[in-house]
Amino acid sequence: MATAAQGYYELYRGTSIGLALADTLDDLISSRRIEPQLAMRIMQNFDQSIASVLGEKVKARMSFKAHLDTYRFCDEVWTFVIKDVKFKLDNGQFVEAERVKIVACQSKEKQQ
Amino acid sequence: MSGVNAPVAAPTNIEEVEQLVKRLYQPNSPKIIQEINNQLQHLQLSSDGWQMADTLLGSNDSTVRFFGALTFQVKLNNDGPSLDHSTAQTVLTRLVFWLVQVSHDRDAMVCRKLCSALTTYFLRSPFIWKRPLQHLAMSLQNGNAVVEAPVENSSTDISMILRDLDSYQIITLLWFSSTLADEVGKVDPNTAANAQMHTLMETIVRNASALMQHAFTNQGGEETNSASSEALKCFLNWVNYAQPVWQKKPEGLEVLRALIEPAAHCLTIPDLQRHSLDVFRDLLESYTTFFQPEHLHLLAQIIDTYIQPVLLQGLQDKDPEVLPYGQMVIALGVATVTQVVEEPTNQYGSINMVKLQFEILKAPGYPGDDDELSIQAIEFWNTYIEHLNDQIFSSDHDVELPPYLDHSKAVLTQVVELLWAKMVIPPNDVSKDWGSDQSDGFKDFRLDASDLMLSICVCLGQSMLKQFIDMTLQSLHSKQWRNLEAALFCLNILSENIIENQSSTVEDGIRPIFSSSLFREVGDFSQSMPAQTRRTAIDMLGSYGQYVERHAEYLPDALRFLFASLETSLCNSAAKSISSLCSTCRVSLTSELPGFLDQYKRFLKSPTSDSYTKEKVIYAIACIVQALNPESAKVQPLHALLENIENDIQAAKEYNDAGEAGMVEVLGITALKCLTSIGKGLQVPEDVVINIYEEDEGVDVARDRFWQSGEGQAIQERIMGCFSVLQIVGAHGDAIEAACDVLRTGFAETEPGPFVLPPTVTVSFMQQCTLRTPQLETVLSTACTLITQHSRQNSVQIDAEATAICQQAVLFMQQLGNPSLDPGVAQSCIDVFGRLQDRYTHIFIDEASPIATDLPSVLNFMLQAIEGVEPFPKRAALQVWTRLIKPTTNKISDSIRERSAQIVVAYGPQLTGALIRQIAGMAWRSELDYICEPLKALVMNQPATKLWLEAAMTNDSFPCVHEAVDDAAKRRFIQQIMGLRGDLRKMRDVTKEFYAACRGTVLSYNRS
Repeated sequence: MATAAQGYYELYRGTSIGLALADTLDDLISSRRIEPQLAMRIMQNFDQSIASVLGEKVKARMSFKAHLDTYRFCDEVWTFVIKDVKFKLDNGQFVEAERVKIVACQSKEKQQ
Repeated sequence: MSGVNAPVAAPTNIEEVEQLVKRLYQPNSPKIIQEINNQLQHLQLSSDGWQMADTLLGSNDSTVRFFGALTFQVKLNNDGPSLDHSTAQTVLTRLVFWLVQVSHDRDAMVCRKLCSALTTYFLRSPFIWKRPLQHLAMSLQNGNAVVEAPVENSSTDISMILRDLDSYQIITLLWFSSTLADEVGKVDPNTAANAQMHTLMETIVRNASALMQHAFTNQGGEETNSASSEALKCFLNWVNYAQPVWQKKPEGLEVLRALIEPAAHCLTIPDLQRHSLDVFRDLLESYTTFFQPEHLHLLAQIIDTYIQPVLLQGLQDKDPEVLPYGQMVIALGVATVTQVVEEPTNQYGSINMVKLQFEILKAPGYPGDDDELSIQAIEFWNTYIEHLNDQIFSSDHDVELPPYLDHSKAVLTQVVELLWAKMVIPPNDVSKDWGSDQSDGFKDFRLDASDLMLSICVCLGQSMLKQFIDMTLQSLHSKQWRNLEAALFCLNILSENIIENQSSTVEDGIRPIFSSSLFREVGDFSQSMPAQTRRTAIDMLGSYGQYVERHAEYLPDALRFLFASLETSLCNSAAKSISSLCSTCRVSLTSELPGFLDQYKRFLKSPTSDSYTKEKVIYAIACIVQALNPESAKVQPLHALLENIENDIQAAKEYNDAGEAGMVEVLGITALKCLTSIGKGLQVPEDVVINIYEEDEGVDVARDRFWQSGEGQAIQERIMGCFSVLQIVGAHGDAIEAACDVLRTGFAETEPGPFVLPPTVTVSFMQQCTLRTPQLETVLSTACTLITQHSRQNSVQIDAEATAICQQAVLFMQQLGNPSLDPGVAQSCIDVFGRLQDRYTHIFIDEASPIATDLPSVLNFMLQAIEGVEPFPKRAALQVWTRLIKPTTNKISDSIRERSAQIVVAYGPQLTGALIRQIAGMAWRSELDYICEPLKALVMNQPATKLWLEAAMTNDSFPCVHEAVDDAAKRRFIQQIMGLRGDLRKMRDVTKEFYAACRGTVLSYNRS
C-alpha cells in the first residue's frame, strides 16, 4: 500500500470533515495530549483513508449537463470550469448551479 | 495456573519477569493485563531493558522469546539513535545470533519478530549496516553471528552462500528482506537524513534479488514451495518500495524486472498459482509500467495455457474459487488495452483476451449473487471503450478513422448483447431467496452496465439503438417479459442521447416501440407479467416524455396505461411518470383536463392514494392547468383541485375532533404538500416562449390584475384559507415546512399568478410564530427569500413588510438572548439583517426607522455570535459586519452612508476585540478565513483600526496564549496585518501563523 513517503492528495483536507479533523487535532496539540508529529501522521492517514473510502464505499452517483468554459491538464490534475450546470441525482432530483469547478486527480492509490 | 489472578507485583529477578510475560499472554481480566503490561513496559524502558531482552530470548518458552525480541525492538525505537558504536555492534551481534538460533529451531513467530527488530536496527541505528542480507546469510551459513566488518568487505557472491542454506533459512532471509523493503518504504526519501538509507537500498536490492531468484528457481518440495511463496511476497514488497522511490533510477528497477520471469513461473505451479495470481494482479493494477511488452506477452501465454482451462471450468461450475483467475485476466486486459484494441489479429495480445472477456460475461449466474466476475469485467470494457472513443474523437476530422474500428464495433455489438443478457432480472424463484446484499449487487451491476452502455453508444450510435429496438420487439412478440424488461431498461438508459438527437432517423428508429402493442400489453393487468416489466415500461414514458410530446398520437395509450397502473402496486412509478409526462406535454393535454380531474377524484378513493402519489398526480394536473389560456380558463379547474385539498383539510379537522392524532397529521400535512405541488405545477416553465411582438399590451395588464380581483382573488383567498389547517397541525415541523413551501412557490414567479400572494401573507405567517414554533428557521429563511426577491431590479419595494420582518427577527433575538441557545434560529435572524443590503439598508441603519432603538441589541447579539462556539451564527454575523464596514457600491443616501460609518466607529473597538480574541486561539482554525473578512474590511476602511488592534492585544480580555507569543510577537502581527492592506490571501496566512503560535499548534498540516 502507498505510504506517507509515496503521498496521497491533500485535497480532501479542505472538506468539512477534513477541516473538522484539523480543528480537533489543534485542540489535542494545544492541550498537549498529542505531539504535532502524531497530528501530522493522523492527517496523512486521513488523506489515505478518505480517498479509499470515497472510492470504495460511496455508491451514490449523479450525472450533469453543463457548458464547458475552461479546461486544463497540469501536473496530472485535470481542472474543468463548467457553467449553467444541471445535476441529476440518484433519486431523479435536479440541482442547479451557475458555475462549478471540477478538480480531478489520478485515483489509483499508487500513481504510476 | 494458581498465580493467574494474583496481584501484579514488580518482578525482582529474570524468573519473575518470565512468569509475568507468560501471564500477559494468558486469559485474564483487562485490569490485570493492563497492570502486567505497565510493569513490563516499565522494564522495557529501563536501562536494564537490553539485558532483559537478551536473557528472555534464551528461554524455552516461545512467547517469552517473542517478548524478548519485542523488547529489543522497543529499545531500538526509543534509544536507537543515541547508541554508541560499541553498544550498537553488540546489539546487532546479539540479534543476529538469536536469529540464527531461532531459525535453527524453526520458531516462525519469534523469527519474524527478530526480522522486524533487525529492520528497526537498520532504520534507527546511527551506524550504517551496509550489507544486511549478506551479513545474515553468512551468519546463517556459519551457524553463529559473524562479525559485520569483514562482511562489508567480503567479495563472496551471496548466491554461493545461499546454496549452503536450507529452505527454512532461505525463508528467514526472505522474511527479513520483505520487512526491510516494507518498512524503509515508509520513510520519506526526500529528507537528507533518510537519503543515505535509500541509497543503500540500491545496493541491497542486488542481494535481495539473488535471494528471490534462488527461491524461485529451487521449487519442487513442500518447503521449497513455501520459500517461493515467501519470495512472491518479498517481490511484491520490493516492487512497491521501488515504484515511488526509483522512478528515475532504472538500474534498481531492472534488477527487479529480471525477477518477473521466474516469479511468473509460479503461475504455472498449482500450489503457488493462487498466491501468484494475487501478486501479479496487484502489480498489474497498481504499476502497469513495471512490465515491459515481453513480460506482458509472457503473462498472456501463461494465461492461455495455465489459467484459461481453470477459469472456463470454474465459470461453468459457478465456482467462487474462480474469482482470482478472472481478476487476473481482467487486470492483464486493462494493462494491455491498447494492444487489445489496436491489434485485433494478435492471437495472444487481443483475440484470446477478448474471447476470455466474452466468456466471463457469458458465464451462468446473476451478478451480485453467484456471479462476481461480470461486475469486475465492466472495468475492462470501460477501459476498452474509453481508449477507442479517445482514438476516434481526439483525432482531426480529416484524418482517416482507425483501421480497427469496424472490428471494434463488431466486438462492442457483442458486448452490448452479453450485457443485456446479464441485466435480465431473475425469475421469482431465484430472487425470493435474495437478501439485500444480492439485490444491491444486482442493482449496482445494472447501474455500472448502464454507464458502460452510454459510453458504447457514443461509438455505436444508431446501430445500438436498433439493436435494442429489435430485442424489445422480439421479446414482446415472444412474450418473454424479463427479456423485454432488460431491453426497455437499456432503451431508458439511452433516452437522453436519443431525445437530444432530433434527427428523423432517430425519430423513425424509436417509432416502432411506441406504435407497437407494448403499452396495451403491459396495461393488460389480466396478463401474468413481472411487476418490474410494467414498472420499467412506466419509466420509459417518463424517459421519453419529450419524444411523446412531439408525437401526441401516442399520449392517449400511454396515459391510459399509467392511470390504470395508479391503482396497482406500481402506483409510485406511475405517479412519477404521469407527473413527468404531463409536465412535458402540458400543451397537448389541455383538452384531456376534465377527464383527468375525474380520474384524480376516483383515484383519491383508491387505497394506493397516499401522500406521494397524490402530490405527483395533482402536480401533473396543475401543469396542464398552467398551459390554459387565458388566465380565466384556469379558474374552474383550480377550484376543482382546491376542493380536493379542502376535503382533506376538513377530514383532518374531523379526525382532530375525534382525537385521532395520527390521521390529523397525515392528512393535514399531505394537504399542504399537495397545495405546494399545485403551486409548482402552475409555475411558468423556464423554456416558455415569450412573444416579444405582443401587439396588445393590455393582455399583460389584464393578467396582472386578474389574480388581484374578482375570480382570481377568490382563488387566492381559497389558497390562503388552506392555511387554517395549521391550527391543528401547526405543532409539527413538517407542517410548518410545507406551509413555507407553499409561500415559496409564488416567490419564484416574475408574473402575477394564483400563488403569487401578497407579501403581507408571509409577514403575518411569521408574526404568528414564536420561539417555540418548530422549524422556525425555515420560516425566517422564507422571509429572507421574500426580501431577496423584492430586492431585484424592477421588483416592488416592500419597505413596510421588510420592516415588520426585521421587527419580528429582533423580537426573536431578544427572547433568545444568547445565540448558542438555538444556533439555527440565531443564524436565520442574523441572516435577515444580511439580506437587507442594499435596497433596505435604511431599515437597519436609519435613525427614523422603527427598529432604530433596537439596533444596539441587534449589534450586540451579532458580537455575541462572533464570540460564541456555534459556527453558523458566527459566520452569519461576520458576514453582516463585513457588509456594514465595506462602503456599498450601490446608490444609498449620504445620510445612511454616514450613519453606517458612525456605527462602525462606535462599535469598532468591541468588534476588533472580538476578532482578535478569536484569532488568538478562541476560534477554530477552520473559521479563520471567515474572521479575516471583517478584519480586512476594517483595515481598508477604518483609520483607527491599528489603535483598536493594539488596545485589543493589551486588553485584560486577551486570552491566555502560548508562552512563545510575547508583546513583540503581538506588535509584529499588527504591523503585518496593517502592512498587507487589501491582500486577503497573505492576511489569511499571517493570521493562521499568529493563531498557531497562540495555540501552540502546528502552522499547517500540509507537507508542502
